[in-house]
Amino acid sequence: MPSLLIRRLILVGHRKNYVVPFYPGLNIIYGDSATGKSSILECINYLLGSSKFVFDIEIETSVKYAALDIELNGRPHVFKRDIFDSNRNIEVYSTSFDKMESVFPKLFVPSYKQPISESGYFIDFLLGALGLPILKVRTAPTREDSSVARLSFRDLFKFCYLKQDDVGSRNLLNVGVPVLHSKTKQTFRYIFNLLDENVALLEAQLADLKTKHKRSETKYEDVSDFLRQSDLRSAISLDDELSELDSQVEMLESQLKDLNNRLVADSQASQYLRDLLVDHREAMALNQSDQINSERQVERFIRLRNDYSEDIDRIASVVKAKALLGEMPPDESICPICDGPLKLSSLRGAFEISSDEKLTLESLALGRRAKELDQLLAEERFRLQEIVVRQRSLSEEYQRASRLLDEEVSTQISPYLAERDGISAELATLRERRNQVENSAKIRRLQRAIFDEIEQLLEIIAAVNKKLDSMRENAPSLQDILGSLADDLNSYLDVVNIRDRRGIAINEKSLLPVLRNRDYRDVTSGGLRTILSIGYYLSILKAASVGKANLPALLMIDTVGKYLGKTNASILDTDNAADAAEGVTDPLKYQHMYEYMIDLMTSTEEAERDAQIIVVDNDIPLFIREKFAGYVVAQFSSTGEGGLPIGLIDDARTVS
Amino acid sequence: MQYFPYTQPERNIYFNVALALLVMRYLGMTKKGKLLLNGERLMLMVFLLKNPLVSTDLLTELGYESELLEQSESFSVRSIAPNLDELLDRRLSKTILMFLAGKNMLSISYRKSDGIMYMLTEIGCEVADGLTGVFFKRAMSRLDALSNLNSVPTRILYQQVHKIIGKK
Repeated sequence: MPSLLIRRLILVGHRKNYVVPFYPGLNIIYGDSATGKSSILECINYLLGSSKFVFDIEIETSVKYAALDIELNGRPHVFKRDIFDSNRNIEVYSTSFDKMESVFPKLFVPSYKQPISESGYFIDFLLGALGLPILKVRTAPTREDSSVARLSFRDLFKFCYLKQDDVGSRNLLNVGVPVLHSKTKQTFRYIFNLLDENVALLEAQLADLKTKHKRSETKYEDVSDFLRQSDLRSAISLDDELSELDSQVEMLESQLKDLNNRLVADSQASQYLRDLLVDHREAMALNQSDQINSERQVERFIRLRNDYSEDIDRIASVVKAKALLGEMPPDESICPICDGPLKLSSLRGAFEISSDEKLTLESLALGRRAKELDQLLAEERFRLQEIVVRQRSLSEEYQRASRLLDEEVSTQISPYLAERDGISAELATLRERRNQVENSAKIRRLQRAIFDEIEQLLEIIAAVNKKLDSMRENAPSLQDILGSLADDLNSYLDVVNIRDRRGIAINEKSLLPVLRNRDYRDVTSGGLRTILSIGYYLSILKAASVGKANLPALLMIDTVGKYLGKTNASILDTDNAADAAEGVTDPLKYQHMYEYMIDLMTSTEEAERDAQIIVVDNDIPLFIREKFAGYVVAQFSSTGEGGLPIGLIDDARTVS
Repeated sequence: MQYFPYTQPERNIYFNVALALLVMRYLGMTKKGKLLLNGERLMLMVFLLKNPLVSTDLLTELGYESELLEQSESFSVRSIAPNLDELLDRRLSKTILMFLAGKNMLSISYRKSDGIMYMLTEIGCEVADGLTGVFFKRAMSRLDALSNLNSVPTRILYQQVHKIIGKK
């Protein structure tokens, strides 16, 4: 059973990403008109291969590209597409949006109108990924010479997307355009395995799948061979190395940071040494001047002591001379030259004539003073010695600090630089290595992706085989299928509470519903047509959800409330009197439609089957709003009322 | 004159007279009997005896050997700054000469070129020979060295002494 589950729509923008999340079951988007609700469905449609995406000015100015987080048969994928150039290849990543960077994308051509690429067409890829057969059908099945057209995912998707224009439209399923309607009918037959060619085509497809499988296996072996030969290690060991490298890089970075911190500390340490040097220099200068003073003092003491000693000798000589020369000569003598009288008295007083006693006392005093001086001299010499010793130790300390500072530069700063260079070089090497390993890991992942593809192919082959068997055994008839769809439609109309439910069927020619034996196209009440069209699509969804159809259980409905008194009636194609007669404006009917959808989704969920309905509406029943608020995935208000975003591009105020 | 409260041997009359006696005794005349000392030269020699460091510097300057000095002579406050005034103190020379004359120890003669020349009487010589002790002994050995300068004119000696003192 094909399964397609939309997880997230992401518009990757310049300022931010605009994300709408989706869940299995019912998803409701509602709000005022012109807030970009329909754009969400259109964008999903575009990402699923639609040829164009008409976007609003807000999107044009804010968004770079669109991405869809999606599960195809339970496998996560991301579709990434340029919104401005629809011809550019669509990138498909076999992972979720958050891990996109870690895998190489596959590039698919969006349209059959373009030349095929290596990976192929996107819509073929979608069919393949959903495990659905790729078929060519005759556009006019009744004519043998009819041209053959390829039946694509786009044709199938018409049954998954009820556009605003199609809801309640008389031209539902292109019924008024014979050529297109013919293709639609062929698609319907394909979906319900009603094509006569189905068995033969399935067999052909089986053969095709087997070829593809073989090719993939060869590719896998080639890649594996290459990896073996290029000695590429296993993904696990590569991942291990990656995380090991990451932790090494982190460690080195922290080392580098640590190193930088240490440099600051080191320069603080050397500042201490520099301060110490200055202190020592000052202390040495002070001590030096002390030493000079002390040396001078010692010299003074010695000189003075020598003077005393000399004086003692001289005083002794005075005493001796006085003893020999006797008293002073008489005041009057005879001049030896002129024999005239000489008066010595005039000279008395100019010089000392000390008494012997005074001289002796003086000599003794000088001796005592000399002894005292010797004492002082000894003390001063001791002090000088201390100063000299201190000077020597200060000098040694100065030398040591100076040497330390030198060493600081040579043994701390230089190795720091060397270490830093070393770490930087190692970091660069590690980062380079990391890039290499990351690339290797990507190649490994590519190998894994091929392996997954093979697995997927095997699953599809098994599914096709099973389908072939069941088709051969009990090929369904168109009547059976239409009858079953009519039954489901009947129970839907019952829930919605439509009166007079006679003659409910599906027209074999138009493949559209019949109520009260009147064809859908002939129903005049637009509201009733809305109810019928939605019911019909829901019946097909129900068939898909139980595995009866070659269709993913996905339905997108744009504006459930059309013709139901919720939209501006004047521009719409409806008979107001008929609407009134049917009572389609009855809010309870509207409410019942939602309840039916919720019940349908609840039952598929209980059956553990993937199914998804995405509904866009201008308003939703008060009852739903109150009781099932959890189903609302996005809600907009054009005025930003109640803090609601003004649209999907919620930060585009300045633009508009 | 103001007396210092302590003794200054240099200013003591006996000290100066004793030194003059020694100078006249040992440098008074040549071996041939030529008188050498006029007043100026006498006082210069007395000055040199009182300032041993100047004496040795003078001898060295003029190319003669000098006696070794005691530390007390070469390394003292006095030796740093010799008192040049003493050399030019005419009152001192007058006092010394009058003292010696009064004691009949001085004899004089006149020479035209040098003026009055001084020498000792016998009494003077006896007294001079009696001067003993540490200081006089050193003075006599200095006089022995200074006798080398007997042939050097007084003018030259004065010039040299001024030069030496000016350096200090």
